[in-house]
Order: sequence, then C-alpha cells, then structure tokens
Amino acid sequence: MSATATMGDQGRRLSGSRRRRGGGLPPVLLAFILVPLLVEATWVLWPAIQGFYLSTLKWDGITSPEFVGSSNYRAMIHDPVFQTAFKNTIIWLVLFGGLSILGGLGMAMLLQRDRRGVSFYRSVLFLPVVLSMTAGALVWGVFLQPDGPANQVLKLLGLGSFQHFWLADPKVALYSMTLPALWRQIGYLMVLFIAGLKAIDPQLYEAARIDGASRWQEFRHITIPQLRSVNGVVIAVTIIDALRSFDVVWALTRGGPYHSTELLSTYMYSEAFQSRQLGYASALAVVIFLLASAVIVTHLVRAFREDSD
Amino acid sequence: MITIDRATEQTELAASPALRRKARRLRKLTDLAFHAAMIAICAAWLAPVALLVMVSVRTQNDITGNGLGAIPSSFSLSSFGAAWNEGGEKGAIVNSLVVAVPVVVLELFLGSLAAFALARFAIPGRRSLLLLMLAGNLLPPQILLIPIYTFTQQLGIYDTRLALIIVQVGFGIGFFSFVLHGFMRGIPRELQQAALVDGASVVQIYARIIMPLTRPALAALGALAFTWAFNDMLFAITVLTSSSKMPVTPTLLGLQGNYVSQWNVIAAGTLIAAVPTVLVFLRYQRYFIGGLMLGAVK
Amino acid sequence: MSFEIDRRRLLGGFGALGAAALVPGCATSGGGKKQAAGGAGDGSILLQNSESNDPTKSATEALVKAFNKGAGSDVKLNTVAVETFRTQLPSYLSSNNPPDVYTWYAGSVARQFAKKGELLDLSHVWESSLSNYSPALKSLCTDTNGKQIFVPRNYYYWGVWYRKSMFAQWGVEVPATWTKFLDVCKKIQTKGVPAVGTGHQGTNAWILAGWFDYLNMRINGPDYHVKLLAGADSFDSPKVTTVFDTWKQAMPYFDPKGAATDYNLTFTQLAQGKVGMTLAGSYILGALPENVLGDIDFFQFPIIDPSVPVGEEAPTDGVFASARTQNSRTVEAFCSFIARPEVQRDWIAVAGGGNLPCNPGAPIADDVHTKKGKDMLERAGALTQFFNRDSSDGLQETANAALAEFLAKPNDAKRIQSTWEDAAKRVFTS
Repeated sequence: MSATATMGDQGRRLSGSRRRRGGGLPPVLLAFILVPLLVEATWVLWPAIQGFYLSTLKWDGITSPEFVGSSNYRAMIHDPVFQTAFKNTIIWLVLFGGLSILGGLGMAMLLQRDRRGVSFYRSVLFLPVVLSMTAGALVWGVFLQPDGPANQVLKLLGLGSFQHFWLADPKVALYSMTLPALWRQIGYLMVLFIAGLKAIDPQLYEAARIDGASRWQEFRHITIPQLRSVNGVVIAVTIIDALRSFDVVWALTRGGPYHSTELLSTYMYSEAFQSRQLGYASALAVVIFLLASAVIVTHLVRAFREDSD
Repeated sequence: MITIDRATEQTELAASPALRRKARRLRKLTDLAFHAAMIAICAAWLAPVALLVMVSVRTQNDITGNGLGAIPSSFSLSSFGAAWNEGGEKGAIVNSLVVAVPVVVLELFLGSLAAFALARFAIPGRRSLLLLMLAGNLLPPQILLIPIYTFTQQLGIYDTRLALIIVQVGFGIGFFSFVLHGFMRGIPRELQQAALVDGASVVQIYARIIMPLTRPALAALGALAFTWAFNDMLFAITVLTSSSKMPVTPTLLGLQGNYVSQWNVIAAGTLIAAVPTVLVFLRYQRYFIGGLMLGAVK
Repeated sequence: MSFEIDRRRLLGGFGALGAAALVPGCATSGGGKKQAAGGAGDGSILLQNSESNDPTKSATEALVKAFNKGAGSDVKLNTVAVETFRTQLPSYLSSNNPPDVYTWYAGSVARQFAKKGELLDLSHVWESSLSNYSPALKSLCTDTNGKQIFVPRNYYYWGVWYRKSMFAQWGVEVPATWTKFLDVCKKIQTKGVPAVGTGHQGTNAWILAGWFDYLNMRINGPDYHVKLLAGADSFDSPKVTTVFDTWKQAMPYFDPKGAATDYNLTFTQLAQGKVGMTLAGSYILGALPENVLGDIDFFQFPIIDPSVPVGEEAPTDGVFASARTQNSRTVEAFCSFIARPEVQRDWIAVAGGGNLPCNPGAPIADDVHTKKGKDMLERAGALTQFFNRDSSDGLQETANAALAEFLAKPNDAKRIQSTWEDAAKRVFTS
C-alpha cells in the first residue's frame, strides 16, 4: 500500500502548508471519502435532484406528469396556508430549537459526571426518544385535553384563568406542541452534549481550579469553548430537526385547527400524500431545503472561519 | 448547578482531615439537592410513560366506558399478548432488528471513514464535500420517497429488507459523517502528528488513534442511530409492502383502526417496542463512563 | 389506455410476455410473474388489505381462509395500516408487480383510479355473480366508461346517536324535523348537559363533514350535494351559505369542548350521559362499552325541508383489482366469492360495527340497530358515500379546515366559505 510511503508528505501538509495542495493524496484516503459519498449520492443526492425536478411538474403520481416550470413556486406567493406554515416554521425553529439546546445542555451538565443514579436519570430522559409518536400523541392528547391533567394542575394552583383548549385554540396550539416536542428532543441533545463533554480534557479544569476559577468561569471559559465543535453539530442537528419536525405535529393536530399549527413539513406531507399534488409538495420541500441551507451555511461558514484561524 | 468535581477530588487528597470532613458534608448537601431535582425532573419525564403503562393494562371496555384519561378500573395484561401475537409485534421486532443492526454498523463505519478523512487531513475542497454530504439531510425525507420507490422498483429490490437497509444507510451517512467530523475535529493535532512521525499509516491512525478517542461520540451516535433505524416508518412503508417484512412502527400503526383504535394494545405494543432500544442505550452508556483519558494517550 | 400500460410494463422490465397477459382471456398466462408481492404465478393472488385492526382484520383473515379452502387456488393476505394504505395506494397500483386485489372504498375514490386505467374491469363478475344487486349499488361500482370496477361487500349507516334512558330522564323525544331537533337540544341544555358532542380535534376533524353532508342534503338535496362535491358548484354559493346559516341555529348546542377532544372521547361521554347526542356512523357500536349497548339508539338525521328528497350516507366497502393482475381468473373467482351472501354474513358476524351486507340475499345481523339502519337506508331516495369518498382526500382536507374554523367562528361564515372555495379550486384544477 502506497499510503505509508506518502506519509511524510502527509505530515508536512498537516502542519498547515497550503503550497502542496492536491499533491499525492493517499488512495486509501480517497476511498475513505468516495465510498460513503457514492452510497449517499446514489440513495439521497440523486433522488433529491429528482425531487427538485418534480417541483417543476404538475403530477398526481399516476397519470403522466405535466411540466409547469416555476408555477408551483409562484403559486406559493398567493397561498395563505404556505404563508402561515412559513411563519410557524420560523417560530418553531427559534422556540423549539432554542429551548431544546438549552434543555439538552443543562441536562448534560447535570448528568455528565458518573455517580450513583446518573445512569438511571439519563435513561429516563432518553426514553421519550425511543417511544413512537403514535403513542406519544395518545398520551399528550390526554394530558392536553380540556379536562386533562394540564388544566387540572392549573386549576389546583389557582391559575384557572390560564386554562386553555391547548391543542384546539389556534392562538396557543403551536406553543402547546413544543412540550411534547421538547420532551422527545432534550434527551437526544443531552446524549450528544454528554459525548462532547466527555471529550474535554480534564486537565483543563484542574488547571483552572489551581488558578482559582469559579464554576461559572470554568463553564464560560473552558466548557463552552471546548464544546465548540460539538456545538456546531448540535446547532446543525437542531436546525435540521426543527425544520423537518413532522411527526409530533402530524400526530397531534395534523396542522390544524384550520392550518394554525401547519409547518412547512406537515403542509408538504399533506399536499403530497393527501392532496396528491406531488409537484407543489416538492416545491415546498425545496423551500425547506433552502431555509435549512441558508441557516446552516451561515453558521458553518462562521465556524470554519474561526476554525482555520 | 455545574458539577465538575474531578479537580475537587484532586485537591481533596492534599487537604487536612478537618477540611476534608467539611468538604464531604458540603458535598452530601449538594448531592441531596441534585438528586431531589433530578427525581422531580424524571417524574415529569415519566408521567406520560406512566399514563401509557396505565392505558396498557386496562381493558377496551374500561377505556371506551371511562375514557383514556381515567384512572384504571380494570387490570389485564392481555393487551401485551395481543400486541405480541395478533398484533404481529413478535415478527416486527425481529424485522426491526434485522434491519437496524447492519444499518447502525454500516452507517457509523462509513460515516466515520468520511469524517476521519475530512476532519484530519487537508483534503482540497473538504468543506464543500462535507456540506454536500450534509445537504442530503437538509431536505425533508418525504421528498426522497417517490424517487427512492421508483429506483428500488427498477433495481428489482422493492419489498426487500436489503432495500430498507441500503436506503437507511444512504440517508444516515451524510448526517453521521457531519456529526463525527464535528467530534473528530476537536481531537488535538499533536496526537496524530506524533503517530505520523512514528511512521503510522492512514489506516493505523484511523483505527488506533482517532477511533478510540471518538468512542463517547460513537457510543452516543450508536444509540441514536439504533433508535432511528429501529423505529423508522417512512422509508419502511416506501420500500416494503409485505406485512411480514414490516418493522415495528408501521406494524404498531396497524393497530390504529379506521374508526376505532385498540389503544390498550397500542400502548402495550409501544412499551414492548421500547425495550430493545432502551437496552441498547444502557449498554452504550457504559462507554460514557470515565470519558476521555487524553492525558494517558499523550 | 393499453398503450400507456404496455409502455410501463416494458419499462418495468417485463417485456412482451407480460403484456400478453393484459388481453382479456389470456389471463392464465401468468408465467411471467415474478416472485415478490404478487405471488408465484401459480394462480395465487395477493389481497392488499387496509383493515388492519381487530375485529375487521380477523374477519378478513377468516374470509381468505374460507376461500382458499374451497378453491384450489391461493389468496395471500397482506394487511397494512389504513393510513399507510391510503398514502401508498397509488404506489401499490403503479408498481412493477402490483398486488392483485385491494380492500377499499366504492365511489369516486375507486372511479378516479379507474379513470387512470389502473383497475381491472369486473363486469364479468357482476354479470355472473352480482346480478341480484340493486341498480344503485351497481351504478356506485361503475366507472365513467360504464364498466363495473368494484365489488361491494358491506356498507353501514349514519345517524344521530343517543341514550334512551337519558332521553327519558330529560323528558325529550326523538326529533324527526330540524325544528324539533333544535327544541330537543334546547331542553337537554337546560339540564346542564351539552346537547351535541363532536370530538373533531386534530386527526378527527373529518367527522364534521358528516354534518355538512347531511345539512347540505337535507337543504339542497342529494343531487346538488354530489354535484357540489364533484366541483360543479362553488363552496361560496348562496346554497352553501344556507347550509351554514342553518347550522348556525344549532351552534349554541354544540359542546365547545368538542373542538379539543377525540371523537372516541365523545362516544365515552355519550355513554356516560355527559353529552346528549352525537352524529356518527354505526362504527360507534364498536367503540362503546358493552353495558350501554342495550340503551343506545339512533335516529335519522332530522328533515329540514320535506320537499327535498331524502339522502343518507351509506359508505360502502369492498374490493377492486389491479388492471395488471396476471391471474384475473383467480381475481374474478375471489371477487365472486366476496359477493356471496353467506360470505358477507360471516364477515359481518366477526367484524361487527353495525355493518350491512351488500348482497340483497344475505341475512343481516340480528339486532335492533342493524334492522333499523337497513330500513332507514332502504327508505332513502339517494345514498351517498361520505365527503371524501364522494370527492377526494384532497377535498376532504379543505373541508376539515373550513368546517373546524366555522365551528370556532360561526359568524365568519362568509369569509370561511370563500377561503374554502379557493382551496377547493386548487384541488379541482390540480
């Protein structure tokens, strides 16, 4: 294998020299990238391109499709449901995304150290990640129904005026749904954060202790910077998940009452598989893609810039 | 709130017995507060699961007579048997496992290869490549369903578990490459350079240095990957049609009727289906313990 | 049509051998069939079944078993969740090797697939085995080209359900007209009980279309209703405005909590006497505790205008077959089997849910509700299927949003109607 032979060269390049760019990559390394890329290209990227193509069609999935150019995109401008869905998606991204990162990080900080009980606590927080949303919808539907525990607890606390039809009142339904969504997401992000925290060199904290740093200072100046690469991952994951959030909303409200909890993802699904407007649904998917790309690329470009000093 | 006590332990050893006693008392108190807080959080987290358990042990007559939210006035474990046998969960769990295990192994293996190459070597265009791989995950998966369906038809692998495995691996690679890249990027450069100087090959660096250091991340991702692969619904119903090959989630969905659902059986089925994933999580959790011993590797 | 199919088959890699099987009469040449979804070409066929939960699942399993025992051939049963089935049906039908027979709905839903050339012509089966079926059922199962493409197995009825003992306790009697219905509502409400329960939260929103169907039929007649659902009139027309105006009269008696609950919970509340009445299909009988079944009863949706012909909802279930089946002989044998009176009787005996057999010669279940339901449907001047079955799942989506909003804001009816019409227009022009 020629890999070993080029190692010296490799080492030099690693130490930051850009002059030798492109010269003699070990074939093994090339295979490391190409094999996964090829698999993904076949099963995701190529179908995705076909999906983009679908967005220029008028098609019900059975009869022969008709090419309509950009008219699916132009139709969005006049589609009030699209506008609601777009607005809700942004709210969802900020609210659900932000709270799940805070919750996940908080839980990870609490549960990163191995001591008695911790593995039980972690498992409990992880449990909702595992449960199917069919069952999740069942229990949350019960919790949030008019005579359900949520309203009863409010009444007990003397907060009866805060009672709502949580899933039926268009003013609060979207916000109510962040609860079940967070219930499922926090354990997931906690796991990622714990993995990140575990990778921090303990010696850094020792050094900080010797210098007399407070816990907050440790958190500010060691934990957060050291988590940087994981943070990048978590933010990307959260954006992807928030924009693609589907099953919680679909199972609990189907985007209703009257489209008030519609997200781009649920609207896309119902257009594709209920209304059989595959072209329009694909165009909605492209919008989700563009939105995700815009947010993530902005974030990554900054992260990469910081990274390459 | 933030408890990073490794340093405390270190300094404790050097402290006087009196100081040590005082510190121990303080720690007991914070421990108590910690457990009290965690128990409260866990109780809130488990409340929906407790409701699920309650529904699963009630009879259909009790549920239709008193509503889903009512306190159980019946007790029967027959819904677990109904989910397992008539509900087809027995076969569905096997199907889920047969798909999920290879999916997790392949996803993490292929993902780690790409992540390793892109994170640890100055490959030209590596950022664009990474973004390209991530791009596949920025799309809602629903848009891929029809092209994937057509493609499996053309290849003649429609309605095979193999198709489901390949599709899931393909969909996961971009995500896991990206996430593992994030973790691998954080590993100090010096380790790799030292190995290079010692004449280690790319494969050796991957297998002996980077992968062991990525262990907590691999464990965490393994648990997540298993969960997703095991509980997948969308891809399964797109590339499979035979009920005998369906994994757990579509099978559980089958218990939901057109008009009337057997909620007790669905609840029982969901609880049963959670067992393998929770076991996997508990198993993987062992790899979190202790975290990284970077010092030792250095 | 046949060109289209030939082309697709060739693309699917089947070639001329498979195409030959399309010609009626050559159906036995099933040799080209691959192993997979559709069986082995030994005369066996695949029944793609959408009734995945018990007791209907068990009923269909028993039906298939009975057929396989009698015939030399083999029907394989593949049961998937109804929601999965709904989203995947176009995929099943257009796959290389489609399942042969499908349990699904009669009416416009089936007709739309027939129009696209996906369904097998079952006219032979109708001639030989379904000649005693009513002309109304026959036309329900006939596509736009005049061919029968559907074999009906069972249907059910809708009504306003109540508890006899509660009505006695409240001192109210079954209302036959809309005015009397409003009186009953008023009286129940004075007892501190919401008169009408719905349960249209989230995934349940479709049940409101039952109210719309009935009000529209009672006010404007079944003919207009069917035309409206086919896109011949608009949802902001004055006729539809009358429907909303009439509905508004009953609005004070609708339980506001209905917007936030599951209809199954409404059934429970009905059983507990916490709600007065609810409009539902006979499937409610499968969702009630056994101890109230003796006390539960229904009445026909009240008459609003006696001069308008009476229409009733009678959703019909049965089977259709893929046009590209390679074993049409077995398919036809199986369809004839399903049409038999004793088969339908046995299926209903297990499936329950107030279902009625489609074969006029089949005995009906021996209970008061079924007899009453059958009488009601037989007296009706016209039978409809239900909103989505008479139109499409896409139009149902538009109705869900519009009707749920109307219940929340009855005074915005005008605006809601025009939003509904805009949404409906998009469905029709797609």
